[in-house]
Amino acid sequence: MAEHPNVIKELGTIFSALSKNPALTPEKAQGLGLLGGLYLKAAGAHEKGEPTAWISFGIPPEIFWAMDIVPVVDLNLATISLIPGKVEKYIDLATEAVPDYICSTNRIPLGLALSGDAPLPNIWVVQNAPCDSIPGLDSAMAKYFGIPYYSVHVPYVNSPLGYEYTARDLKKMIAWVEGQTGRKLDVGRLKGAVQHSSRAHELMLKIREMAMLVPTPCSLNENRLAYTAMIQLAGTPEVVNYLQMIYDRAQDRLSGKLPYPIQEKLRIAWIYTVPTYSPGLIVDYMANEYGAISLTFMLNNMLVPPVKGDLDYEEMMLWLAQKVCNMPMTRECRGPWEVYADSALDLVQNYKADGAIFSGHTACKSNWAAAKLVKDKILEEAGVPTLNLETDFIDGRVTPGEAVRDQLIEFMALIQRNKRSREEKNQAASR
Amino acid sequence: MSALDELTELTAGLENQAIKDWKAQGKKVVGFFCTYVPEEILYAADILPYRVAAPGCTQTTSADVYMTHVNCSFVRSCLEYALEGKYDFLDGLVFTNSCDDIRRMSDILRTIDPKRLPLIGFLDVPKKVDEYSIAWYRDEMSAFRGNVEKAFGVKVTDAKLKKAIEVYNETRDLLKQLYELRRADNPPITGTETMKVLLAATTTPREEFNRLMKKLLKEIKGREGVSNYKARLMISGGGGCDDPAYFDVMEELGGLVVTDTDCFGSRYFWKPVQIIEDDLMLGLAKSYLDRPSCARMMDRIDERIDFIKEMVRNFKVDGVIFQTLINCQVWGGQLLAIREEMKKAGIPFMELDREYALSGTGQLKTRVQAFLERIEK
Repeated sequence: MAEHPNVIKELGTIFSALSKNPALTPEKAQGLGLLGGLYLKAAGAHEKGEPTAWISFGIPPEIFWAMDIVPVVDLNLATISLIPGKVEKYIDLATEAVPDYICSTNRIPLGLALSGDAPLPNIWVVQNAPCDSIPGLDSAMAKYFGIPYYSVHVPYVNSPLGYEYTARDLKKMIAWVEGQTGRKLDVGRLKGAVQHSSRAHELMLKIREMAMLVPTPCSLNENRLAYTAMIQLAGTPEVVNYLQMIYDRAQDRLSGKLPYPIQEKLRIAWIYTVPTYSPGLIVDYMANEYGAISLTFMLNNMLVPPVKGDLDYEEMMLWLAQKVCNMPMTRECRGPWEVYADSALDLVQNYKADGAIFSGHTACKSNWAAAKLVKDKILEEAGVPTLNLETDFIDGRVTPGEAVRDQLIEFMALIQRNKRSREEKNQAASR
Repeated sequence: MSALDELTELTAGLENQAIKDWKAQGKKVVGFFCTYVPEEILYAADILPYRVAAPGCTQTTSADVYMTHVNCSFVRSCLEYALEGKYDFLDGLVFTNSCDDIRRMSDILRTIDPKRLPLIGFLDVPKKVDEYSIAWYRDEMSAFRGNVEKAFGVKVTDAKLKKAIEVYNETRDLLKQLYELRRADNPPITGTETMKVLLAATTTPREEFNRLMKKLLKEIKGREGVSNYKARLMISGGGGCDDPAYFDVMEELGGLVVTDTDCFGSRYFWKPVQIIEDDLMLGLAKSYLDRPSCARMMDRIDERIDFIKEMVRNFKVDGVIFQTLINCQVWGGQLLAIREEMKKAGIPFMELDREYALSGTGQLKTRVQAFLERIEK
């Protein structure tokens, strides 16, 4: 009988090898290196019989690092799509077991588990946000594969009471993880993890400020993997070093020590996801053909302020709860549409975007049902047009790159016209 | 007229005679979409809770301006009717974060035309059940009670609330008695008829409904019962299967729907609300969260599976038809585990992905026919 590959180990090996490719920018190389290291650690823990955990994105990885448990964000196994031709098999396998309208990022871990190509974790901690796919499928998967499972409930809207509620649930989760794994939380280690995480959040805010500059010295091309790193590696020194490097290189561009990769002519804010497939037909195409720089995407918009001073256990839990509730997507997608609209407007206005792209993942029901309201609000309040683009951001078979590019061509023409018209008006006004 | 005829008549159209009579007394009607809404609070304020549905909706042109084909057809149908003004007899709406689509309908309606169907309350229903979430939901319900009082200038006293809980518990008990009769080898009522009774419950003032239910129970106890069926079926799954036409198709082919685990059916009434004398809100919160659960409750999958198995056993079910609305992610994902558990238990299982409105019965008939042939005894 053929032995199953261990995809998590394979991802670790491939990403680690890619990170040594001199053709990649340091931002990409180091980002892939971080991911590779994480997956190798997870695979190693499994091989050594140490406890392993899958967590929903948003569940604080800091807690798991402080318990010496490697946290793998199940939905982030979608990074397998960074390796061309690898992801389809798992999506298809999962689609034999559940309907195709379940989010593809949920179907990937399912496909991996069904294929036997990924070792299953010892425990799984999920949360109800940002969408229905998670409670719907994850509880069924845990039952099906016999994985002990804990669910954290995040309230509908953010509030001080909601943060306290979530903090209580996180404490209960810790007790559950301790019971399941026999690993005790070391509060001293948690303090260290929170300090690293706090520094990482501070850097995310600084990178955000940097990306807003015109021309931007830090576009999506440089900061794309920051989110992926943060949701799993927040709490480690590695992610701090990585973000510091992104920031320093942006500073170097600003001070003229490093060149800007492309001359910026148009500025684009991706107010939701960005397709991971066909970059040459999408993000890179826009940049190369139109000088349209993708500044950032919603998932990078981490706005939790760093901690102040030395926190005790209760204060740390409250800060982590705030993080859970304000994780991009959890913040925008689980509550009233205005929260999402404000977040999108923040990206459009503060990043001084000429155009916004809502690359709506087909499975994101809540966002599609808010898309028109958000688009109208952005036009009304910022005067900026939004392209609503239906894609599966992982699975390029749903809306192939060529079809996306065709829509982008029209949209680029529109925002070019708008920009010219704005400039002409400004010139007329200044005469 | 028989009680069944009277109840059936109450399901014709969106606004039945009982609602018209209620409104003629100057009383209010408030719509809701999900069984996690504590109707008792509205009823205690002398407001008729009305479970919103969109029977007969065949197109969603207006709704599709705001939603897309990725959103579920039940919600798009309700949004369509709301935009067309078909719910204008309602004095407001109550929403919950039941699922992504329903909560967005609330967003759309309160944003584009807030005066037409005022939002009376939005309840954040926790997606798990423990001491913290019960306390959370108790507070949400208390805030909702305050909203109702403010919106309609009424006082929901504890005495009125307790009375409302008792009236609603009587409904639950009567519906359960009806289901008990369906356990018989020759049940005195079909699944299609039962669905009509259940639909009447969602829109009719409770005292009137309870009166008709008592009459119905008396009447059908003398019925001969249905014996010419090929197999006893249970409807499970989610999305609220409120269209009797689905049941009709199954029963025309010789199946007999004897029970369900649907939110228009047993999950709505299976457990009474616990009356905690010194904290009625706590009793409501506990009872609403601790009922046979919707798949949105992410920590209750074992309980859900056990409930299905218990129903299969108690109602001598030959096969389960697990229906989900296309695009319903909470129930669609559950299939993985429920299918497997049914297989392990040796319970025949048919999956039915459906749209809200039944249009064209050919394919459904073929599939049900094949299923019946497989399980027929």
